[in-house]
Amino acid sequence: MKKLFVTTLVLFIAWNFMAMMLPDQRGSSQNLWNGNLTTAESVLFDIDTLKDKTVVLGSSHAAGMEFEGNTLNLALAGLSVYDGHMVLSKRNDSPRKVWIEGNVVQRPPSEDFAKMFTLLSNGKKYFPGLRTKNQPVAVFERLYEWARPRLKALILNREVATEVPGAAPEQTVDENSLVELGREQAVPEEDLRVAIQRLKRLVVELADQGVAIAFFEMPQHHSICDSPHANSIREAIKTAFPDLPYLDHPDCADYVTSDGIHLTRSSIVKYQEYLQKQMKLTTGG
Amino acid sequence: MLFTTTDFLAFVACTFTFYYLLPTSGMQVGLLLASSLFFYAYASPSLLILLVASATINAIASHLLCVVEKKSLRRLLACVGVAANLGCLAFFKYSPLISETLFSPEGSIGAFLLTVPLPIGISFYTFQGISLLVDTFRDRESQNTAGASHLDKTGLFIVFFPQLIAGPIVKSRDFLPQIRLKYFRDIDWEGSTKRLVTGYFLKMVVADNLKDLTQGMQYPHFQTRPATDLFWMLFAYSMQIFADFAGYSLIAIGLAGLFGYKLHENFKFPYTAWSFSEFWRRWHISLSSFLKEYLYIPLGGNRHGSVRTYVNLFLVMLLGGLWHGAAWGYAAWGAYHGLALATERFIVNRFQFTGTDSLISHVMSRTFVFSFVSLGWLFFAIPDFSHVLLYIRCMVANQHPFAFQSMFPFLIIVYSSPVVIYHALDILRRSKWARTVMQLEPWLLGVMLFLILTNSGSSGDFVYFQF
Repeated sequence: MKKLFVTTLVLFIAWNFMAMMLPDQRGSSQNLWNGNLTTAESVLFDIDTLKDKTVVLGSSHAAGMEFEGNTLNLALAGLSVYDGHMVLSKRNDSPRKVWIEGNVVQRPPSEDFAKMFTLLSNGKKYFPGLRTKNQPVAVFERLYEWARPRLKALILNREVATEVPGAAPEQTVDENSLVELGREQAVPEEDLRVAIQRLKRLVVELADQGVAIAFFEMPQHHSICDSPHANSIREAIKTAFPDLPYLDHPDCADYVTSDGIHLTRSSIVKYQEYLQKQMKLTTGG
Repeated sequence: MLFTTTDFLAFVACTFTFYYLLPTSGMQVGLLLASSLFFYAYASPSLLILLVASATINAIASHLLCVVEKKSLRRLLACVGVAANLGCLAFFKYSPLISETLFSPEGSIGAFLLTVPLPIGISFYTFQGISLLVDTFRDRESQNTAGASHLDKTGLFIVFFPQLIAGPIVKSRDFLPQIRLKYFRDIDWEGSTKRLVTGYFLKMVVADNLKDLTQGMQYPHFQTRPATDLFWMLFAYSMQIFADFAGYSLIAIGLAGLFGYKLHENFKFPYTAWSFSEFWRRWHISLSSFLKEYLYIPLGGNRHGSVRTYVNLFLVMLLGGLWHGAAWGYAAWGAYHGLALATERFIVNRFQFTGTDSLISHVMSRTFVFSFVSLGWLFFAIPDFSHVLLYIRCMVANQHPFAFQSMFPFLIIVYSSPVVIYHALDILRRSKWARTVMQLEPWLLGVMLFLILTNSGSSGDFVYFQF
């Protein structure tokens, strides 16, 4: 028993020291959930101030964008804009601007995700070894990723090209299978009413803190971009917030999706450039 | 209340503290009863009524079985009691299946059956009720234990919180004699700690991380994954379901140990089995032994010739499959294992084949059994039978190289490795290597506890909660 607890304590202390020295990398998401936690923890613990920042709230549609500079992407895969907002509300300061992805505003906040940010999770602030990006397997994953091409080169005795994320052939979906996504029906009115009420509370809270707010819509497969489903959400947002900027999706035919609703890597990069330009034009950044 | 939540830890700490302050067995039983009911009601208070009703009916029926002398009346009482348990299970668990199969969902009966709620743990506590009645019918003396009242004792047997939701299924003759005044000094700290740490490690580090890697097995997502990913996910799910359920069982046994109760082990290195019958002696042992004792043997077992034995094996596994869930996929899973067991018995009987001792034979038979069992888990991962067939078709057809995630197999290998090492230790238990590893046990448990703190996956329900 004594050996058990001493081993745990020694490892825990050593790992926390090591975590303090690890290079700051965000790309250590073993899965979507850990990716979301890493994103949220980075906003909570790694950023000194949000006052000069623009924050993007959204879902998996927007989660793949990787901004540089003063824009933070708090879009969370499989989750909602409200979960990202919950993370923001745990901080004592507010961002300068918030861009809200409009594609799935009807998705409610996740109770499971909220549970990850209770009082106990504050331990992560003081013990970096507890943070998701510093999970031992995540660190070894990064190490393996770094070492693999070098080991290959060593074994084959020649240079091996480093794999570029997203460089693999991009998967696309058969258009016929889009029928299964159920986009031909508008979102039920009652669901929309509840969603807009929730969204209004979020907008009011942010506006009270002096945050500038705007909406944007990610492109999807061209056959469902203007489906009754997408149109109903878009119209509901525009009607509820007539004074706030709404950036419509660009021509969806110019973008490629992997499954009908999520953009492929190259299309994400393309849309990100477009969005950043529009951000500057619409709200000055 | 999940075993992995802070709420549960606080609940156990409170119960544990007061439990050993109480001076009599009756008071300790009362506290455990109250705590167990609170534990059950925490998530769905309304379904507590059914649990209390089930426990009360079984307690009264078993009490009557103890006091009634006339054999025919005792038999009638036992039959009515068992039928009440099975009726309750059938109504609450299989109403949606009956509705979908026999009625139109738009009709009044079909619509009503679809609204019947599924109380968590009903499959486990009704089986324990049956065990109580059958054991009391067979040997009433075994139920006459000192201490608390009959109602309290039998009530505790059915609702004891460590094993209430997902087993291990306990037999009354094993549990009731253990009810007596418990002392703090008698706690098996080493055994309980070892099981709790291993159980939490298997659940929180192995199963919960693998769970996020096997999400792509769900319909329709698997259709877009390459065949290699589908094989990796199937392997990962096989590891996940073991880690999840064995983890839960170990936590349950460890917790029971803290309160002075000894529950039997529920898993014994199942993936090292070299035959299907051996697999079922190692996997979910409490269910296998329950089905054997209360179903297979009463059906005639192997006492009525070869053909009847094959039919009995098949029937028991088919019903065992349906016990897991109200979907035809589970019945198919039971039939799949029933056919395997019957075929294996036929081969053994017909050709007197019992395997050979050669290394190649052992490796091949173990690999075959593991692969067969793992393929069967598809029925668990994907409840719709047609989707299972589609998954298998995609395993052959999806040969396109797109979306190959190079880190995917790496993560599956890393998170599966504890399960593989755990089983390897059993195979190599007599080797010097295994003995060295066993000597390092306290330090390995320390590493496990460290990983629970730093590398747990997202919290999720235990897979067996749905049963």
